[in-house]
Amino acid sequence: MKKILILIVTLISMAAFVGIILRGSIYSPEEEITPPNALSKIEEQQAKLPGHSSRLFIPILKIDAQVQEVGITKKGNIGAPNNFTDVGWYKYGPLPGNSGTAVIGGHIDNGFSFPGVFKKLNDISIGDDVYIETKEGDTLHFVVKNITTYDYNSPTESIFAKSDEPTLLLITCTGNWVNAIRTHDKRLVVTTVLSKK
Amino acid sequence: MNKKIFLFLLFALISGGLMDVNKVSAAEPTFPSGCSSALGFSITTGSSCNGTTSATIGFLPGCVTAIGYSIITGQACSGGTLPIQYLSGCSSVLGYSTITGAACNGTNFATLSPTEIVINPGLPTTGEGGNAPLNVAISFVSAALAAIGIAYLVRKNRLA
Repeated sequence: MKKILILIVTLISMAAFVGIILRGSIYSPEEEITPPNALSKIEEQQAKLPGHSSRLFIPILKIDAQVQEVGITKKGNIGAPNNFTDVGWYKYGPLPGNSGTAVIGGHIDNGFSFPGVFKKLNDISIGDDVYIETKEGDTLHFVVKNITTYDYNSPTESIFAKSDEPTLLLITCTGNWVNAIRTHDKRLVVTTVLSKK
Repeated sequence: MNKKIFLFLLFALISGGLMDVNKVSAAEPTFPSGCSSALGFSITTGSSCNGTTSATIGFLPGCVTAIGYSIITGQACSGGTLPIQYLSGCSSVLGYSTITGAACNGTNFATLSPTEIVINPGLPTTGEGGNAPLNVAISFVSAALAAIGIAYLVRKNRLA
């Protein structure tokens, strides 16, 4: 009996170890909701458009990341990629390069504090280049226009304000970790605009 | 001695796991696991939320949510004996609880405002570094427990 109990505890411990390593370092599940009808229609319309992003390049930061499509979480926030190396494009917003404000988010770090894809995003400067490669193989060139830090729960009307100029926002966490809300207290928002050159 | 260490580590592992569970403030009245009202089925167990073999499907007469009282019968819309005001972590019947993640309208499906979401989604949560101390602690304790358990079992097998 004692032997069986120890075997069970050992197996549970091994499973806990593997689980926490995977969850902390590789996999970051995000509980997204099934969107209301209005959003489903947007998703359908977007799916028909060409120019979906495949990769994001930021040469100055040596970032070369795959682009996932993310939706909305239970809390009504934009979803995040399900790992720490990809970035996530908000699929209910405009496509990068189209009129309006497209949004791409990426993790700053993982569950063991190792760097995520946007760890060095705060090293970017105004005038730096950002490239999006589309699934058709085209490359869109954006230039950093503005870098701002917001509170994690800031109203987003002005941040995501409509823009006739094709705009791409790059977002990651910054500031201090707050245990009560289990996230950082600030968000770094890098505003880039499509280069006309 | 080994047994004491083993028990200590087991306790530490369980405590660490429990620490990660969000503290949920008690909502009144309470319902079975996976239920936010006495209506419908539990999302975790699949059992009827009213505690009987046949679930109450849909809202009660005179109710448009599970919250408050029926305007026809005057009974609680929750399907229980007590009415629900706002669920824990909710300031209205729209959206999801910021504490439990459950729908604020008292059902399994939240009422959302599509217009608000299209225009104003919140900023994403993009970092988990603050969980590192807890993750490291749990991984160390679980690894230690597994190693001790394996060593014990190997030794017992040799002796047998």
